[in-house]
Amino acid sequence: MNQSVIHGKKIFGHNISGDILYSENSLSFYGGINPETGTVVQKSHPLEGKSVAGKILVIPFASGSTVGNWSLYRLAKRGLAPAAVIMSKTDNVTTVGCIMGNITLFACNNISLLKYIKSLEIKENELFIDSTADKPVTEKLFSESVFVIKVGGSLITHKESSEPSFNRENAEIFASAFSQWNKKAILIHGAGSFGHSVVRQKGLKISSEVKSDTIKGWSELISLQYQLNILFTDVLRKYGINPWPVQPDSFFDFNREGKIITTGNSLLQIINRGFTPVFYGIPFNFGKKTGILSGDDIALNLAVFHGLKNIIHFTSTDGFYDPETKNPIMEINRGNWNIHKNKLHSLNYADVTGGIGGKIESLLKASDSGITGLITSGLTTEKIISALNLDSNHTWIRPENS
Amino acid sequence: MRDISVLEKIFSGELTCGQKLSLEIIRGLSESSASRYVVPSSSAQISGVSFYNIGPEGIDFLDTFAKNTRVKIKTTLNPGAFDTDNPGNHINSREVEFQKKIYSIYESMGISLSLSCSPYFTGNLPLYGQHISWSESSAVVFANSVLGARTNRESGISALSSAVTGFTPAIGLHLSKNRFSDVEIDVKDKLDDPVLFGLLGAWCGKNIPGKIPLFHMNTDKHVGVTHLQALSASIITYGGASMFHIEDFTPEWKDYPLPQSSKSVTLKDLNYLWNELSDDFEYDKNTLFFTGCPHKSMEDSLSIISRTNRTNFLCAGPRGSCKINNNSYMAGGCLAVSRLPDNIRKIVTDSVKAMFYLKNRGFSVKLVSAEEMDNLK
Repeated sequence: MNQSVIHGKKIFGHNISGDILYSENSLSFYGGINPETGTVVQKSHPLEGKSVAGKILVIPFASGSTVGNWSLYRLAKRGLAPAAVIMSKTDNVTTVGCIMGNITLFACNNISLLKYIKSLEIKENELFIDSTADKPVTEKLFSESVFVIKVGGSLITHKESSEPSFNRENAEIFASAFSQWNKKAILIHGAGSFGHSVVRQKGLKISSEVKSDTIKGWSELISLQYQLNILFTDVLRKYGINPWPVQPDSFFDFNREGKIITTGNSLLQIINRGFTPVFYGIPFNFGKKTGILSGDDIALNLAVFHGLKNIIHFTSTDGFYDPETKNPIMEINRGNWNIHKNKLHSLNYADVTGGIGGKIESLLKASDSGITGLITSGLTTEKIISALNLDSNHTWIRPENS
Repeated sequence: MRDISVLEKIFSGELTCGQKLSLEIIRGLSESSASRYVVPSSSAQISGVSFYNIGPEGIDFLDTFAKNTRVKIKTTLNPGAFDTDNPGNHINSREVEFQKKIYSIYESMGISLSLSCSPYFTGNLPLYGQHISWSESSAVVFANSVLGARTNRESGISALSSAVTGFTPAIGLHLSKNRFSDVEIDVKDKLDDPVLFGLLGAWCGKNIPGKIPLFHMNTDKHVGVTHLQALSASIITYGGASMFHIEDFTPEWKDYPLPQSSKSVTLKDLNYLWNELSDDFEYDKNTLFFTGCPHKSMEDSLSIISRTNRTNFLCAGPRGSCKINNNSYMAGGCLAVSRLPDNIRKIVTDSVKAMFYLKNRGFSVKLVSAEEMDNLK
């Protein structure tokens, strides 16, 4: 039987399989479920009137009172509790309630993948889904050893050039080093002078409406990203790599609030057949307003979505430097980042591209999902190879307690 | 900070049901925050005491949990549903027996029956920097902000698990990096009455949900404990953070980087909120006048009830060492988790927190200043 697997984390309880009760809305265990019947009674909740008894309840998070743990326990005592609870964000009250009631609790970042699923099996830190279910789910059998690698626009273009200008020399250094490494990766490249100069020249503004005087500029900007992708993938091919250019909007979308959502699911096939996917940042329309789906965003979302463990940003500097003392910083965490951020702020540091600060912020987010980030130089073969072997003395952003 | 495996070393051999479950809970909470570390906890405060909240099933649970299990650290108990020595005619004897049973189970574990939501007044006063496990939300904020001790907002059972194991997961507010203020709140006007501090907390819950504020207070008056209690209780009740800082006042205010963003709030904003949250009605014989949320100190509570003339005036406070047979004093009880006589539909209080819970239960609630409350006695 063909099965799909979704990674997550079993917080408590035994392995179990069963039917799903799914909701995108949060639920309050105290007051939201009748403890004497097991029926959802929360007003205008999508699950109102349904019984949670024996089901695998899938919700984003729990809301409401801190005595919710007693409610879960009371349900369990009457045999009316869910068999398991799967949540994006677990909390003290639900965790304690599940342990009190001996209910399996599983944390999973992407509960939306379970929307169309009828039943599943929780087995240690994985959810197994029969992929002959109603709707196809993502084929999620990535090995965690697949790296997400972002090659900065500052490397593969002459970034300060007023015209789009490809930096072939740096691209070859990267391709040569990368070809000597024998692991699998998803590559993403930045735009450099293929983006910024055009935005400036054509007077394009982010978050503004596409108007008749700017629509042509936006169109050109998108085509330029394709051009840079062709130039870069040609160089990769020259070094024996088999790139598969990926149009980013086939894998990403924005929801109504402008938040990035990851949708794609065929990357596995691309990688397993020996190709190296190569993404790139693009301007992106959502609703009426324009935005940028940046290479940094893509790196973060791909790694989180696929449960990958490493993101490397190759840039033109040796990682992050203390803005005041200019000393290299080998380790960034939320604590010292607040201090450095304040320094950047007080020095009025013009971080126009969202550059290093944006990268650090996105890697801090990634670290919450157990991802190790590295910001390092891609200027020499030696530096690239040591980074790919995770042996770098540049800037690391590691998951807490790793 | 210790690796979580320390728990396995300490608790080897045959374990009681309560110990086993406590270990599961500490482990589960660490797992869910992707943490491998625990810290020794020096004090616990347990909620989940009212019979009406935990039900008969809850009593069975606690009974099993408590068998041969004792707490290892200073542990105090939240108020119950009513004063078991003086419950009032509307509470039946079965309810009293259940409530007493709950007390005796907790007591058998070595927990002090202080029956107060202000443990810092009843002999459980943690020191600056100590890691503790408290589950009463107003006390959580008070401990973090005013005392400089460190606690997450625990559930009753997770606090009990810390009390039994002596450890709590090293997550959330136990870590310095999570204690930074997020936003500076410039309080433009002088706030004197404690109820205004309560409203300031509610304002934070509504305007900066979950964010730790650094208050810049415009006041030349000493900010008293009652003011700080009112702020602590309401900020978390209305959806705010489990901690606040006050410039030049609270112990950790300048230990961390200052926030980048700021907002301001005026007396007008707070008065507007007062009007919005409070009901208005005429007082009659079915109106209850209530103070003591959170509990005041024994001394202050005694001072209040010794001067009251009203029959329908109620002050909740800690269970004292001396028995006070005064119908105005609810010793070791809490109105929010209690059952009231059927005729009471209207309540007047000086507590912004009590207003929230009582309104949710369908009562009309009028919020008055502490000064006015004092005159209503």
